[in-house]
Amino acid sequence: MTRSIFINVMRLPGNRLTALAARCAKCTPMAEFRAGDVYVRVMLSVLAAGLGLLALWLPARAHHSGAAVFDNTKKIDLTGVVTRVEWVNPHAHFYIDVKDVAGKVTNWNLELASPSILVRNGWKRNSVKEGDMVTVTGSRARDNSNFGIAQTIVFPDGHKLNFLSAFEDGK
Amino acid sequence: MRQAIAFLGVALAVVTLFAQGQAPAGDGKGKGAGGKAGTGNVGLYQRQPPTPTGPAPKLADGTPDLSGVWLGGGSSDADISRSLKPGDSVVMLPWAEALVKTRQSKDDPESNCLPAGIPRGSPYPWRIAQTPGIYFIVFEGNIHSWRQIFMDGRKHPEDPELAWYGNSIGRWDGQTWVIDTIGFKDKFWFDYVGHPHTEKLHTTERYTRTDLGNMSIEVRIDDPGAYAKPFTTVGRARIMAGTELLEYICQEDNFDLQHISGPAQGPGGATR
Repeated sequence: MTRSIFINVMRLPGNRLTALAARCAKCTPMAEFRAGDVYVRVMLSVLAAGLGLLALWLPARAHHSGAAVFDNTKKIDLTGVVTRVEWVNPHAHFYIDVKDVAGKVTNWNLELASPSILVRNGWKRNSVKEGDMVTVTGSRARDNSNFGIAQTIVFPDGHKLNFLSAFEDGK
Repeated sequence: MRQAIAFLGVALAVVTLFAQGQAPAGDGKGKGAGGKAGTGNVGLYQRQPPTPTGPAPKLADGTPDLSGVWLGGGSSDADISRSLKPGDSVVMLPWAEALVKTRQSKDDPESNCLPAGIPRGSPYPWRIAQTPGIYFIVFEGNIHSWRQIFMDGRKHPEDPELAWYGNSIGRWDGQTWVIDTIGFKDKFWFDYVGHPHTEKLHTTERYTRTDLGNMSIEVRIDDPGAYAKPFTTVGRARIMAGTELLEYICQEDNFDLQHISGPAQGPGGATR
């Protein structure tokens, strides 16, 4: 990830494709995509890192497609106090009270992976507990209810948890 | 330029879907983000101990020893057509093709805490237990269930009682455990996108422990009621050395079901 990103976009006639591929046989491994006369090359390491980051932001399913429940285009960013934790299958949930600028409080239900996945990834059933102040980012349910997937959970001291894991990225 | 960026985006999405589609399930090869040195991801599980190495073990009588906690499966749970043996294809009969186009995610039995069937994988580990005359596959999920495979040389009943997991008899073909199953209810879906099957389904699973930590899996799907020709899926499983099976009672609080909407789809919204 510390290497500079190299994305090369070129317009090439079709017969240049082979020549370019051959010329780069000894270069840094690249992923190559072509759309019409537009040719895109991306360093494989950059592509892999990008895929990894993207994967972190897609709801990982446990027993259904996350996309069938949550809308990845409806982002949520909520700060509030945990009012309840349900350490249940097939998904653990916790609830937070979120106060808006007018002082109105809304209770949100936020979803995690299953307890069996979470505990294998470092979570404990009291990693989030009633009374904790947390900031949650994720996606809202497709039906617009006050229900969302908790992709990241950040505590006031800065430590983080996510939907699948208690292991902070890269640490 | 815009065209190129759009194309790159599609390419990223497609590759990511494959990465997330568990083809085969739990095929976590990489050193994972969040992993400590010397450990890696196995499926959704981070910081797992390295996959054990060494020759495939045997029981005292020389039979291959398949014991252990395994993660993986015989096919992609997102779309079975992603895990085909090279050269194979999934050719649905017209009624099946039409059905898949109308299926809704909320109706997937797996989302309703009903069995995923054969060979659909899941993100959860499973264990093989070999006892005299009968082997068991014990699933953590989904669902928390089991299969029994008769190993005493019996034949299938002439008119087996129909079951979600069918009627299974097994044998050894060299180092490969072969399971022959008929007598399925036509209930489970092969994948999130809704590939169907009928009571004519006949599966032949082949499990080969290639070494201490790895298993290759091939599953021949023969269902003349729904498909124009048989096809074979290819998958794999890995030993999860650092865990035991845990409880996963899907029926405990299947809250999400009431919020599922839209056509049958895999991760990222891919449909047939």
